[in-house]
Amino acid sequence: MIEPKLPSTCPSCSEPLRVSQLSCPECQTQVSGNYPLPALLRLSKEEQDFIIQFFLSSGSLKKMAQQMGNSYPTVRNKLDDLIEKVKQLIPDEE
Amino acid sequence: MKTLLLNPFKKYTEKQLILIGIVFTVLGSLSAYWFNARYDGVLDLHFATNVAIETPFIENAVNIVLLSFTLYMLGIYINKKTRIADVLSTVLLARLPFYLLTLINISSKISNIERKVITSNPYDIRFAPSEIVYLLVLSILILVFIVWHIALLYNGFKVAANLKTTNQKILFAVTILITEIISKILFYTIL
Repeated sequence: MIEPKLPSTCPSCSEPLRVSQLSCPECQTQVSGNYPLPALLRLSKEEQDFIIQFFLSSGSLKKMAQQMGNSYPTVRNKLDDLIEKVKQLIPDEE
Repeated sequence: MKTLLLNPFKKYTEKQLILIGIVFTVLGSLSAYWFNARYDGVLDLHFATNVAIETPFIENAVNIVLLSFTLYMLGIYINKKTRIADVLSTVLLARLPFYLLTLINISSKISNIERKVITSNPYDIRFAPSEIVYLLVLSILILVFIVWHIALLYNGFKVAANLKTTNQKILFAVTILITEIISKILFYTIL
């Protein structure tokens, strides 16, 4: 079964989406509100996977490069680009 | 295959790239000795007569050190995380098209045509049809190999310094041209 992807931007106007409802799968309690998505959840699935990989390899870019079959500077550039992207997303939350 | 020929820097480690680059450099220097080629500039390949065995090795060393130094300086200016190993591997591997081009002087064919052009009156030069076809095919081949050289240099430096903006790309082109001028001055005044 395909796991549904959490959309982070509006499919109609591409603006960042916000959380308006959360529910408990056990007791069916529902919480309504207007919550912004955390910065990391606003990244693409591929970018989120990259961050998880970075975390799991204890921040070793060399190890990551080996696992991904890429060169060290390719992985470092990807991380630098991601840092820039997250920096741009963080001020939106304030 | 496309990655291997145009952008091996994306996948392979700097150790692998430098090792292969050194092997290419040695083979390219020997090839220049066998086929009388001169690498007298970072973007140059000329054919001469009786090239001494040490000449291509010295010329390659000067070209590689000089271009690695200027590109590394530019890399540091663009992105402080640029590593000399990545720039060096780029410069070493990008010279492969020049090394392969030395093969066009098999049987000193190019040297003979060059001698004919230099020693004759420009109005009296007569080429045999086979020479014209040979020169035509060579011109196309040389153009393709120059594009390949620039593509390797650009792709490698792009990965090494995380090149992005148009200004950075212009600086890259200017740095290569300045390095070519410096190398020419070095080869014809000091060395």
